[in-house]
Amino acid sequence: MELELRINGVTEDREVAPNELLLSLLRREGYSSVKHGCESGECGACTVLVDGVPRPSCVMLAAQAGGCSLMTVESLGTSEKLHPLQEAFVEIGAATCGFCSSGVLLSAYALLQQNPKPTEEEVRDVLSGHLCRCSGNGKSVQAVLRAAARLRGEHVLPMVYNIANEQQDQAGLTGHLSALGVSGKIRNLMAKASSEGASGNVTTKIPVMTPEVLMNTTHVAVNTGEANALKTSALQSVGAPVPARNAKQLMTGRPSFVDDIHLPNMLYGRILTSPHAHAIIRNISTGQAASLPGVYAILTYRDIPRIAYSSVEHPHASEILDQYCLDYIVRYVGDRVAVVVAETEEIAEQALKLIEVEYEVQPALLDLRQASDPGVVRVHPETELRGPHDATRNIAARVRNEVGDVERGFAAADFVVEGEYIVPASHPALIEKHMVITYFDDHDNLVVRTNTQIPHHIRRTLSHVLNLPQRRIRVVVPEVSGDLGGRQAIELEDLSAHLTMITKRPVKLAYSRTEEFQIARARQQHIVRLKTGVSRDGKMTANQMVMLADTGAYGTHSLLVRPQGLNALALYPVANMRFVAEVLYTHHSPAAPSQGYDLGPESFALECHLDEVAKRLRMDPLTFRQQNWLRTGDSYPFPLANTGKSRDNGMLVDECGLPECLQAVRAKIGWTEKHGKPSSDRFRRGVGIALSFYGLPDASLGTSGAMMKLNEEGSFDLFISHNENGTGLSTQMAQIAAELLGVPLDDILVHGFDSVTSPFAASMHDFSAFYSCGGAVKKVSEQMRRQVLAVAGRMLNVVPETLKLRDGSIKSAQGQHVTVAQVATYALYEESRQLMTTASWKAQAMPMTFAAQGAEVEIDMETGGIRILKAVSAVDVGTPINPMFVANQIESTAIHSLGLAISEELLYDAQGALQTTNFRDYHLLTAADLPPLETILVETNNSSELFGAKSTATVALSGMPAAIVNAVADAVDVRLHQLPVSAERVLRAIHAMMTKQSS
Amino acid sequence: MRMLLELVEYHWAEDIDDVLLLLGRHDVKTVPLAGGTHLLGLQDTTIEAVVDLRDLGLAYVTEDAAGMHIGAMTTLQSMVDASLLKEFATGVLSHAAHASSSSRLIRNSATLGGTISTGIAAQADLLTALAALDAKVVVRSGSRTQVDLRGGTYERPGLALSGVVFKGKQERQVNYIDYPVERRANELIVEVIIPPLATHYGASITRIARTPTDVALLNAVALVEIEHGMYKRVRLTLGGVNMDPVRLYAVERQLEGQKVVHPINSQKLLSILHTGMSTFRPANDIRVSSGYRRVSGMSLAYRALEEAMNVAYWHSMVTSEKGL
Repeated sequence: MELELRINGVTEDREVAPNELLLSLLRREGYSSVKHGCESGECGACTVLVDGVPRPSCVMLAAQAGGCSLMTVESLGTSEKLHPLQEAFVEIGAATCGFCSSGVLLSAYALLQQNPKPTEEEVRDVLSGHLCRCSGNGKSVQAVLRAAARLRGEHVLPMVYNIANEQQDQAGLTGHLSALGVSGKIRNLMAKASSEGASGNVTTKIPVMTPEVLMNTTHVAVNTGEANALKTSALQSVGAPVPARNAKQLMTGRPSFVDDIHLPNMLYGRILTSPHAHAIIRNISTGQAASLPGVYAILTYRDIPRIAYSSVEHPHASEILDQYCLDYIVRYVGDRVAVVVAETEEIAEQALKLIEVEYEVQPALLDLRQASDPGVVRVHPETELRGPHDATRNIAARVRNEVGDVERGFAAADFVVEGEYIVPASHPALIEKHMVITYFDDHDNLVVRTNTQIPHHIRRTLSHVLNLPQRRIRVVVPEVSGDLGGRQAIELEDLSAHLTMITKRPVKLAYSRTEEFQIARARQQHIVRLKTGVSRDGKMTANQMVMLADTGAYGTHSLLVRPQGLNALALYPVANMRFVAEVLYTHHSPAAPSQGYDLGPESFALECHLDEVAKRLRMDPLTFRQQNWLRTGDSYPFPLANTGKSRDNGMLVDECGLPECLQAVRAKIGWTEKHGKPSSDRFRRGVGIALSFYGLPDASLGTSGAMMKLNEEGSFDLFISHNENGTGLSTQMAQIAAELLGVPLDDILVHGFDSVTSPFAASMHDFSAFYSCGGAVKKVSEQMRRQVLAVAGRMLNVVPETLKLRDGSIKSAQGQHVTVAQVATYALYEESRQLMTTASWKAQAMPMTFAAQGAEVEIDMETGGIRILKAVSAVDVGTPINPMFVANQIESTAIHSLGLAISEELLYDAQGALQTTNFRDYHLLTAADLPPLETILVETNNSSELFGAKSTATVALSGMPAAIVNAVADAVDVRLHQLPVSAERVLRAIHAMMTKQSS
Repeated sequence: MRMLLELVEYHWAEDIDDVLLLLGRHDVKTVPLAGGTHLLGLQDTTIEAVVDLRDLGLAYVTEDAAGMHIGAMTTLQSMVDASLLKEFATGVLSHAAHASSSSRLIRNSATLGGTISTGIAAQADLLTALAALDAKVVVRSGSRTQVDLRGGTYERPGLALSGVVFKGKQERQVNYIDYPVERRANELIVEVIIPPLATHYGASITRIARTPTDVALLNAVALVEIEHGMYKRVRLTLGGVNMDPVRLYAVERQLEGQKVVHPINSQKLLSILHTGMSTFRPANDIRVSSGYRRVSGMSLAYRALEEAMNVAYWHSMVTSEKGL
């Protein structure tokens, strides 16, 4: 049917099928800002304005837009002239990965067209339809308020990022908290200004800086430590809150992601998945499906070699080879059965329905506690299996670390407190779904364009399963929308590659949103048992953590993560400690970590448990922690996880900012005034705090490389091993390089990942990548600086060591100077030499990042309903490379952790079928759900080789759930042992307590 | 990307009769298309044709002696924003429409008619509110003797109606609470009418959810009307995710005709609820158990009724003072 559409002011006729979605039409017409995130309108990535109203185009037929006027972000502004909304998003870092931004911008634009002076609540409501994992949308609200102020003609001052050192200010917190760049004093005064009618839509959550606000503000001294002052005073690029290097590109919706290219002759794949948690495929018939016009190939286990592989990278542990591209056994609901490739996605979908499969359904193992019981069904009975600890008992891996004599420690204790804590399965729920495009390039090399974080492992594994030399496989990673632990495994790349190998045509393979939840890696259930011995005076004598971790049907990241789990115990070092973990197979979907190799389950259990121990001792839980926590100068208490080497001689904890973090959170949450003050009202309030840390004592994980070349114009091409995924990593790498090379940031051109040009890196999660990638960039920049200065020295006939390099200009002590561009030209044409260098880096230390998080909650005694009144995160950030990214990363992680605390949970039925397969059932917090958040950056001195910076990935994920559970306990005197904190769990606990009291 | 794989016809109707003709076809499975938020997510391969209802003029909120009229194509967000609804029934409908989806985008698209048609799958608080306010669903149907889709008419370009004889046009009103049982194939929801409220009324909505914007694990809507110092009409409805709204008739009957007492006798009200809710057996859901709904339902019902009674009482006091 022919359709008349007015898109971005241009009226055009388009031929559409009656069932074509508006999203599909717009994307094939080249409007790449309109993203495909779900198929139910719930994520908001596909938003367009239809006659000025924001609507999700994935649940709208193209025909429904006939005669309507459509607007996409492509018409909002350009890179040369951004719309004030886009400017504000760029300026404050709301432009994270950018995948969701276009939709958010359009909703905000529509709002401001109707209401130039919206309240914060109105902005939050308007953005409620947009899910954002990278930023959590707190920053988007702020950006809209800033833009609104600008559009009203108000002058909005730049954000000021005051990084403070708590140790230098004993007077209190208000003068030096650097929450989102605004100190506590400023925050309070802004609130006052607002009440007096000042403009700027001031909010206690995320303030807008206006002159009126600042006029009421006294100057806040930033008491940085002496060492840091010295360290940062001479720095130009490092420490600056510069926007992401790709922010304009992302804000204008230009093609950036895997799905944003369309290749000629591209075919589309779809996967037939198992409806059973455990079954043997007795027969599979593809004849009818294969005869469907437009179907190019169908693959089942019969069609490809049965080569065992691991979908995740195990740089240290011996690999567990327990997965096959396609197998005759299916091990979870959603496991692969067959894959079809066809002319269109719809034909492929139809073909799936024509495949006849005869399953012999087997008993399924769905209860983690029963996984290793005698006689229980085996998840991996196959003889080809390699690597699991004990496949006969479904034990994929076992971790045991022990120091001292734990039993003696318990015997010496006055009290021994035990508890069991359950962390349910949850999902990264990335808005950009997993997707891969494979094709052969002009050199007959297989190109794999995918949104992953493990490109090297993919290349290695594809070579293995395809029997294709690695040199013929090129992995390209464009912009990626967030990681959250969900991009650490091979998801679709192997099947897509097989299809391209067979058809010799480009193939696109993607999960649907339902498949994302069913198939893509999830954080599966953890059961953690703690046993702690304490003396009456509050000193721990022994501590033991025993954990059961569900790795699902295949041995994945639990194998890597769980050895790190002992780090959680190490936060409270005792002479006698034991950490035992069993990683167990079940018939659930394969496991993934959350964010980096997070310590969420362990920290949740430990931080809840410590409150219980303190209660037993009748002691303030914070005092109890302070008596036992890790301190500056302490040795790491365990042998190294992966090497077994002792750290007795090493001073790993060179700087621990926990006291400052705790002090900050304690003050902001009102601990002294509010804790332990129960009321008898219907609505009862309580506060809770939890501590956490994250670090990788085994620094050998962090091998990485970097390459750099100087261009004729004076710019530097920088090739790094890690891709951008919304954390601002590549911008921070550029800042490091610019700092060391003494050039403007724009002169550093960071290139995304392409296995042809990018160096190798092991361990690609966000935490370690910061150090390993940063170390390589630092080293390569230092080498390049030496080369540049050497040439300049020859040009100026002076000793290079006497030269100063700053702002792209090299000056001698005598006042002579040349520019970097002149150096480049001289080297190329006079010395016939290309200045370029490479560096390999093995991080020697990954400083531990410490955090304290607190929450205030209100509980309805009648229903158990919970309301989070406030959430505070204080993180020891060292000296941030870019405080804007650091603050944003902490805030977004805290929002994620709030979701894990109260709503995020994967729910299965009795047959192992996932029930939460869309964003409505798996509810992520929206902008309208967020409580007031505060993020405090606590600066400390440390020996980080990256200008004293610490990685802030992951750490804010660990403490908040425990802080909330502890706050619930403070409010209503009941202890929950399971996440999420649901109204039902709270009410049941209250009733149980009342019953106990009455009896 | 196509969600309705077998969809081959798209009709953009400008007249309800045209819609009814298309819906009445036996050879082509045809369904009405309102906002599309539910329908297009179904991946229903039996649907062959849709009729777009956007130009039928069914998006409105008006009030007359018969009550509040809300067109079936009124979006949830329009209901949230409609000033008439903000004032009507203490804003219960407006609040319920807002709580019916956590997403403003969905509310911009989803319609009242679509929400009613979708039923409990809509997971909408609005359904509980409609039940409590005695909403009537106005539906139209018709039958025809012949449909020839090969031709067309000058008046209705794009829709082939030559040779059609249309007869038996019917319009009926169904109480919303009975609609899931009373609904018939090929009927089109055109309007919802909320009967007028008494001068002295109070209404209230309460809910429990995992987060402020999440679907309600349980919600309660109460309506209380006072006349001559007596509770005249009392409605109490509980609903929630994946459960049909449940009218608590036993509670309503016990309260109707009772003398208004202020302040409310809490013990008596609790006793009435205790008795009246003894048969309340809500369904389990993956997020919440039946047992929890039963227990917390008592609390929600109490709070909703209490507030509605108080508001109704205050209304009666204010009007008395004004001598009305």
